[in-house]
Amino acid sequence: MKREYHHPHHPTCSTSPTGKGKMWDADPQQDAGMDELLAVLGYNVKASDMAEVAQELEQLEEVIVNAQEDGLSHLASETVHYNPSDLSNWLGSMLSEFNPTPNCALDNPFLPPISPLDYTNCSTQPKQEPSIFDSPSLDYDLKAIPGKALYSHIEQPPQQPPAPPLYQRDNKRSKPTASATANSVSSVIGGWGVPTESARPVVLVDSQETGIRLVHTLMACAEAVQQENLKLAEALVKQIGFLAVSQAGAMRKVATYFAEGLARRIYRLYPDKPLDSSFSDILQMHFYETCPYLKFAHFTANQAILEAFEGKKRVHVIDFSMKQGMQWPALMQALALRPGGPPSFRLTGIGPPSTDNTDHLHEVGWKLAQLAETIHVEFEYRGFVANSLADLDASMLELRDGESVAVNSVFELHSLLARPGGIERVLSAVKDMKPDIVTIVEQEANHNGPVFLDRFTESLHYYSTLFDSLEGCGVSPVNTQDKLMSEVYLGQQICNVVACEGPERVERHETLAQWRARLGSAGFDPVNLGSNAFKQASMLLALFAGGDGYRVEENNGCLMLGWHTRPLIATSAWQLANKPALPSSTPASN
Amino acid sequence: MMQFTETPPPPLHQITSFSNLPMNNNQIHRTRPWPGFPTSKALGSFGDANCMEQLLVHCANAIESNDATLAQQILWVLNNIAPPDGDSNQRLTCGFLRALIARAANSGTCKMFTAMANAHANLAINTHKFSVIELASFVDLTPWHRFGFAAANAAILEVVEGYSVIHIVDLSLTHCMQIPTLIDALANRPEGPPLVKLTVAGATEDVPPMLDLSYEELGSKLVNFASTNSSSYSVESSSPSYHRTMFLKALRTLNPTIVILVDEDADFTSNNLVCRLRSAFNYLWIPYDTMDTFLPRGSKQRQWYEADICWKIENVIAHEGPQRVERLEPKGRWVQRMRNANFRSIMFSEDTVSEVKHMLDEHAAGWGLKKEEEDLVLTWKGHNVVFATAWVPA
Repeated sequence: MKREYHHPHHPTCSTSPTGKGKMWDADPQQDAGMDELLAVLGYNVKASDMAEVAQELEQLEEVIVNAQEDGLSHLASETVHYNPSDLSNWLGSMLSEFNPTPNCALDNPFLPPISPLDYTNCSTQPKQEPSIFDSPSLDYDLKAIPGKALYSHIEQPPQQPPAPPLYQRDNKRSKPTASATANSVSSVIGGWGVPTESARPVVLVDSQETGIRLVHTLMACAEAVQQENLKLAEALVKQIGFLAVSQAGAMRKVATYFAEGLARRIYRLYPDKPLDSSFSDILQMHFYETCPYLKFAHFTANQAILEAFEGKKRVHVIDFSMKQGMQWPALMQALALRPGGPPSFRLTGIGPPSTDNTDHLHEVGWKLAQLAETIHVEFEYRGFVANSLADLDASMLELRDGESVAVNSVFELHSLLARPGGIERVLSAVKDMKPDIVTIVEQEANHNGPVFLDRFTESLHYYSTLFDSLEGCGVSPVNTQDKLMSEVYLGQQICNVVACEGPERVERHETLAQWRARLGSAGFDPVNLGSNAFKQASMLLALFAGGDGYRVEENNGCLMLGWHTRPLIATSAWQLANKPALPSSTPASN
Repeated sequence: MMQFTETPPPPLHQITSFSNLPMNNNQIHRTRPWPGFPTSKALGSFGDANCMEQLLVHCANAIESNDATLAQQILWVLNNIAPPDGDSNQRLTCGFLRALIARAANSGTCKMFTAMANAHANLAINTHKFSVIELASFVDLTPWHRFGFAAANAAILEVVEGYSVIHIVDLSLTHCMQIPTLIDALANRPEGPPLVKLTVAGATEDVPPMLDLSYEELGSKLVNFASTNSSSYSVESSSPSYHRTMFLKALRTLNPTIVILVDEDADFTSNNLVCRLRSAFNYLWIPYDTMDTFLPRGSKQRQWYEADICWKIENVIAHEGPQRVERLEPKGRWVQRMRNANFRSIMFSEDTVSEVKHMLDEHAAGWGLKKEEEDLVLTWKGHNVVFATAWVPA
């Protein structure tokens, strides 16, 4: 890889999307900003010193490479290095360990340019698993992250073959860990590989901490945004992009999406109006295929609906989340073969207007009608187009006497929290539908707090865990596309949580506890999902989940699916409360 | 806000016009149609069993092709429509469902955690270990085994008339349940009881129905029983090679006076899972169907019986290679095998046939007897259940 090294005082390289070059202009004002930046990142060095530091780094690198013959193991374990945040002295100490070659071969075409900012902490005392929770310099309470999410863990494998070189060179560096672990967020170590899309190769002498730095930087940027220090935020978001490309797997993807969200927020480049609905349906289909979350949502909700419909001759499902109707074939088949024979089955599908000319609500209905024909279920379908569920009125649905009604909502209710009164209107309309059962599936997270930084932190944890779980899915070529689309699907949500505000911010996820309170005060009683549903869910996940970490949990009659110890989605079922709420029994606070 | 209503589903011939609707994003848009049912089959009045079989077939295909989404959906449906305590079709389907789950759990692509496995109750089938008395009274409940015993014992008795020394080689899996009746009959011969040597060969101890005794213990019981009938018996067991062709050749070298071959008339030998599934489904409905006629719901014996059937289903569906021992072959194939091994078939005598008929009269009305050339076949509601054939060296 050709190196472009211009001048000792302007160490820069090929155009980088982050516009790094600008940072190095010898402008005192910029310098001050840079000093601040470095300080934020924990480095005790001035911008004006950087040129010298850069030169010493190059020398160091040269020396390390030449020392390859003797191996670097002594660096890895026994050598003590002084205060890495004091870069100049640190470098000096490193260099004095070696016999530096007189020429540092500045024009060596094989040496890449070095950015001292990426010079990570090379402390070599083997640390116990460094946790971002333990860092005293952090104010953030990140203890909410369970398990290994966002968690760097350092392994010292006994025998490590040298990794492929970072750039075209014969000399190799030893890589601290196996690349196999670099996939999950839980081991943010794979910093050696340079992805081809990065314009800027990176020198990372010890990349074990880059992942931690990445998280720190994300948090620092969010905090800067929270404090409306946009200049700092801007500098940091560029840094994030740069650090993110040095990661692999889930960590990189998550960081990239969050960086995009932050950038949009900073530069006020808000995402376009909601995607083409058929495109977002497609994304959701891929998400459906790739990982168990939506499938879990469907079969747990269907279990509650099937049980509620027992013995009923005429049933009506009102689906707030119609999309491609993936939930219904299985329910219809189960109804078709239930003891006593099938009921007559009516389905009302509600969806947003489509932006292309297809009428996909209509198409979905046709396909389900075909299916009903083959399995001998009397079927009737109606599609409703609505901009918002809050526009719905029970009277529009032509409800009939003697019908048992189920209302189903998968990942739809949270968007109603974006406009005042939305959720109340919808819940009131649902009550008017007089349902025998209401099934609700929502993301198990609070991404709707009033403080941006809190929302950011919560969602960073949530989506990191989610992306982590995706890494286990989709191995075959067909599935790779599914996985990619799933990531885009989730990326859309991230962008919305981070970059949007007001009515545009629709991904207002709330926890089961919060929904319980809302539904309770709106006049609904919980319905236990039952141990049958739990056993089935566990069994189906055990057989087909594609990853080892999925866990089904029962929570007071509701079911949750999570990754390791972190629940990610929750299914709950509800019915109308028996008694009208008396003033004295209304809960005081929710 | 717009609304529209769908008219009731179109008659079948209009479906082609539906599929011509323009659909954007067709290429990236992978729809997932629910797997279909051949509509002609559904014309029968009892479409449910066919539907269940079809669902099981789709499920098996989904598992074999690693289609996790479809497999999960169908398993969910089956779980709900086939409770273990439902009617006979439901219980049959439940047995197959459990076998498919076991197969999915065994396959490399899925991971079954012990915790999850425990959460799903009864994945392991607990087959009962019968005591001798229990097994004896159990086999008496239906013609399933009695048919073969009656035909065999009658034929043996006829052919050993006049012999004073008899060697019986019993290769069946029913732990010599046939023998006490035979001993009794031999003891009451006008010319007095013969000297009988009984060799029990090839029986394994881990295929249902399972006995709580070893063969040694069983043998000594038989000897005791025999001596009370003032006959002399010795019993020994041996294990010949299990390969059928070799085995029949070896049998032929013994130059037996008679060979009675009785087995269930079904084909479980296909290497294709779906074929095996269909064969097994279309045979094993019979024991479930007969059960109501002789075992009350909730009875222990019913549980034992069903557990044994579930064991067989699981063996046929979930296992491969040497573990899959339930490799029933239909009558036609056995007949061919015997002929290849230089035996020729002989008729059962009229006396034998009437013995068997007598025995059947003691049981429910659905059981029947059919003669196919020289062979006798036990039927249930007209379907072949067990065949009995008799052979002599050619």
